Amino acid sequence: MPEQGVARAGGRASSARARPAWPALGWVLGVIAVAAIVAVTAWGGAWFVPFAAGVAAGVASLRWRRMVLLAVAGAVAGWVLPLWVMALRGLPAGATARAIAGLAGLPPYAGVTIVVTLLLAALQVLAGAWLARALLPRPVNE
Amino acid sequence: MGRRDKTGGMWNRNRRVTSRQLRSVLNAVAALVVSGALLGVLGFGFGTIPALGPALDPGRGSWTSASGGQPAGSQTLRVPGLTAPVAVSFSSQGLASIQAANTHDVFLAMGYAHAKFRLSEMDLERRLGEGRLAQLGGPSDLASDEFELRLGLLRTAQNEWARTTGQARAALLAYAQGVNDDIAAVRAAGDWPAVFTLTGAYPAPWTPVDSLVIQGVLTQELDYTTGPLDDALLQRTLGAARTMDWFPVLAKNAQTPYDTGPYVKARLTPVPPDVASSAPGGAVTTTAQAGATGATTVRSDDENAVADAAAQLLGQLSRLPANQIHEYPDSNAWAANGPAVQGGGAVLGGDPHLPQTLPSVWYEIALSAPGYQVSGVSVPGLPGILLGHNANIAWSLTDTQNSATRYYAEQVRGDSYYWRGAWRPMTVERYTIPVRGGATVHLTVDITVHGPIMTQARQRMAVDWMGNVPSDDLGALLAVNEASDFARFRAALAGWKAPAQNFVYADKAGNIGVLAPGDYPEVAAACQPWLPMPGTGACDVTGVIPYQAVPQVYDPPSHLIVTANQRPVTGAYPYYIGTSADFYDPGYRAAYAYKYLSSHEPLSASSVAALQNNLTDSLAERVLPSLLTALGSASLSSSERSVVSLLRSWDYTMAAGSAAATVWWTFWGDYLSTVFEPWWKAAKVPVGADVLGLGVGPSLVSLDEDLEAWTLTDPSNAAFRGPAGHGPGSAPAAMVAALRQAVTHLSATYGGAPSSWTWGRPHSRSFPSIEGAAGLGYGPRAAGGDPFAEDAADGGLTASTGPSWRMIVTFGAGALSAVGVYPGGQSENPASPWYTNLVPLWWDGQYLPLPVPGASAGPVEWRLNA
Repeated sequence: MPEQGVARAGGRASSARARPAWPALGWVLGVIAVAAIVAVTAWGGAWFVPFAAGVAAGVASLRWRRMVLLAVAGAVAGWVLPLWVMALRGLPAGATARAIAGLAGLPPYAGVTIVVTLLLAALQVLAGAWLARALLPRPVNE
Repeated sequence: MGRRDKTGGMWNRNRRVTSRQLRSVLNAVAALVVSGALLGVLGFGFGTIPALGPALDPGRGSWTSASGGQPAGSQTLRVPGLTAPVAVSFSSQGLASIQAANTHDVFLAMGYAHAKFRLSEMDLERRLGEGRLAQLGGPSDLASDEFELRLGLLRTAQNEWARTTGQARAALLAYAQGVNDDIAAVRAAGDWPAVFTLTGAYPAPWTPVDSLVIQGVLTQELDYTTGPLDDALLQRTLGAARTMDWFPVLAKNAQTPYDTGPYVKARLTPVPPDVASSAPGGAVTTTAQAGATGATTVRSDDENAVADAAAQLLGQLSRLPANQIHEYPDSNAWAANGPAVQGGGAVLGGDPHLPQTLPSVWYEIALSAPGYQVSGVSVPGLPGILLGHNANIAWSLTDTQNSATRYYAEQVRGDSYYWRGAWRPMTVERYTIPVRGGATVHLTVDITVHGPIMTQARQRMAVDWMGNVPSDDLGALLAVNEASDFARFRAALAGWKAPAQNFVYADKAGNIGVLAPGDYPEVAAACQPWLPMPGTGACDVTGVIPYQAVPQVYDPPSHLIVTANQRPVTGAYPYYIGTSADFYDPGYRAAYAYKYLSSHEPLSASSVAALQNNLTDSLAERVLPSLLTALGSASLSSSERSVVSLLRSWDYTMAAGSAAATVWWTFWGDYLSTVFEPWWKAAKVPVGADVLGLGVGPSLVSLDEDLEAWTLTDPSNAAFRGPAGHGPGSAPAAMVAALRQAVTHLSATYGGAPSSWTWGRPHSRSFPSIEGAAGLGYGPRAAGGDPFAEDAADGGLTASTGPSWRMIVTFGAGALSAVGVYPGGQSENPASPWYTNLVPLWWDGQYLPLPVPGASAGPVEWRLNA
């Protein structure tokens, strides 16, 4: 599989073609795995795990470019999960989101806190991925 | 060429490589900076931005506060420190009842319950009093912290705790244990109220001093006043004679004091000169110190310097959060007995008017232990019931409104001040104030025998405030909770010092009474306590009114007692207790309540409730006939005639749907302006220094009283001619001019027919969140009321001060009935169903039965085990 597409060294188009393709199921399982890790660690108070996931995704993206997208989706899903569980347990997640927004000096709407929360997860992943890609040497064909 | 080409190609290639490397380096640096900044801000916050990472972590951050928003369920809880199991029950509305085996456990469980539902409110209040708000809110709260640390609520609380003994000491310790049990449980579970996770400033363990600080905060909100500062500025601008004429000691209008005498002229109870100094240990050295050197001495009798210092201090106070010091006098409490009550017995109604916030200042609860059975409202942070009843008596409070804040212009030289013929060293206290998102601030407080120096202007001003007298007010309150008759009630309140309060009383034997305990500071007759006084010692507090001579009444022949912040005594009272401006209510509510209650006898709970919710403006009732008479001879436009028609058919109620109410209130403001504004402008009164205390308007109650009195009995008073003699000349002419101005203004603002100018358009009520958070308050909602109505609405057209609790207790035919309601809910969590659930009941004038001591309050049961 790695040998695919290496016939023409150099050139971004050919190098892209050189990347191995993941089956759809692989992507789904990847997102679930990242989400599970991020959710479990969030319950433990490790709010920075999406950043670590981003770093890992950045490294992996040198080989599988879409890995960053997967990590973003996984991290966001991983932070949605505790909120979803909260709502399933009958806790007033929406009203709490509204209260947090008000206390934080933001417009007092539940959606504001939810968006900001999920944005933090996504931003962390993107920053981590950027850092990894910027610091690691790129393959010759890149 | 080929050589050059080769060299050039290599150079170009090298340049491309270097350029690519440079881009890579820049990219790496940018990624590092951005990632570091992001993680730094998320992890540690920046400025006033909280550490958003832990704050919004969906598993552990502020989201976990949702657990406090759940409807409370029955459960068994571990609460260390209890000596026996305790049952805590809640009604479906959240009203609580605690049943314990002894008073230690009842207060411990009370602390636990308060913290469970009001921890962030309690922490916020103690931070306010202890000068630690900026640690939570950032630089904008620094003014408050500096003021509080100067004034000394913390020092006073520490002094008090050092002297607290007996039941109060035991109660405070047990209560603190209960609060700390909850804090420990919350810490273990990680489900903090959102304000803590958002700021990262978690609550320190609770101490008895914290409770005493909260008591001090309440005292400050009820009787720290700026009257002498305002008077100093008025005297400098309007002149001494006019100031004393328009802001007299005794109001010009008719008053209805509850204690009409005869009065006892007893010797003052002596107090040490430094009784209210707030100095650590409660004592300021009086050792003379010769030859101190330093800054220029300024004589304290320099009127301009004193006025400048007054302006500086008022400037500091204007930067405080709303309602941190006393602003609006609007409480009611009345009692009736015997033939005045349906079926005999006694009835008591009480509705203290305070800033209406979410959460409320009150927490409703019944407490039961052997020998201690009491129900009513408590203050989160304090053990015991402040307003309520036990099996034998009921009581409610209104602010006595006496002047309890004295200001002294000190002569200062270096670190010394001049007092009683010698230079004395000031006590110096140093504080560090942590500021969220800013540098730590260091504050030095100088303290003289009179109290803390509050200004650093050319003239130093010390404040001598009775709230700084260390006293066992809590012990007095707990004894009231257990009193069974008026003698014990009276004995219990002997230890109450500040704030002076009218304690209105009723009992199961059908007796009623009122007693106004507290320290009323007196100075030599030659001094002027309504102004800043010299700090030389000539005008020191010489003593306080002895307890047997404070305003009081027991079983009056009229069978009625009304307190509504009016001056409680007549002009014959032999002691000075404050001026009309500092700071009694004009008396409209008191007069109306006497009239209403006596005309609705025999009284019942429902007639008392009707009065508590009554919107009649008694000033309008007095003045409107004169206005209509004046308008009868004036030439009016069609819209003015429509307005007159509205006013003629008006019943004086400030209902939200009344257009006449809008006309009346606008007219009264314009009438005040027509008469007084020219004088203010000519004299250049510095209104901006204290809008409430200096600006012409209904909140300057002396002017309301003056104008009412002149309108009714002196319509040609010189004030109507204006400073240059070009004024309207008389009350009728001024009224016509003011009404025209009001109609012009209302037409321009609302247009349409005058009947459409309903009071609910400009006027509303609002219950803001105590954190000031947008969206977490209630309202603004169109509402009736004004400051002169029994159902008072104060604080401007969007009123946020009013009846903070309404209670009615009846003792009749051997049965006790108690109902109450407050605008809010038992939980501080905005996500809780108990956050605002009591507001609709309050709004509609409905009441709920108070939880019964010793009985379950309702379906939710907690069992607390050690």
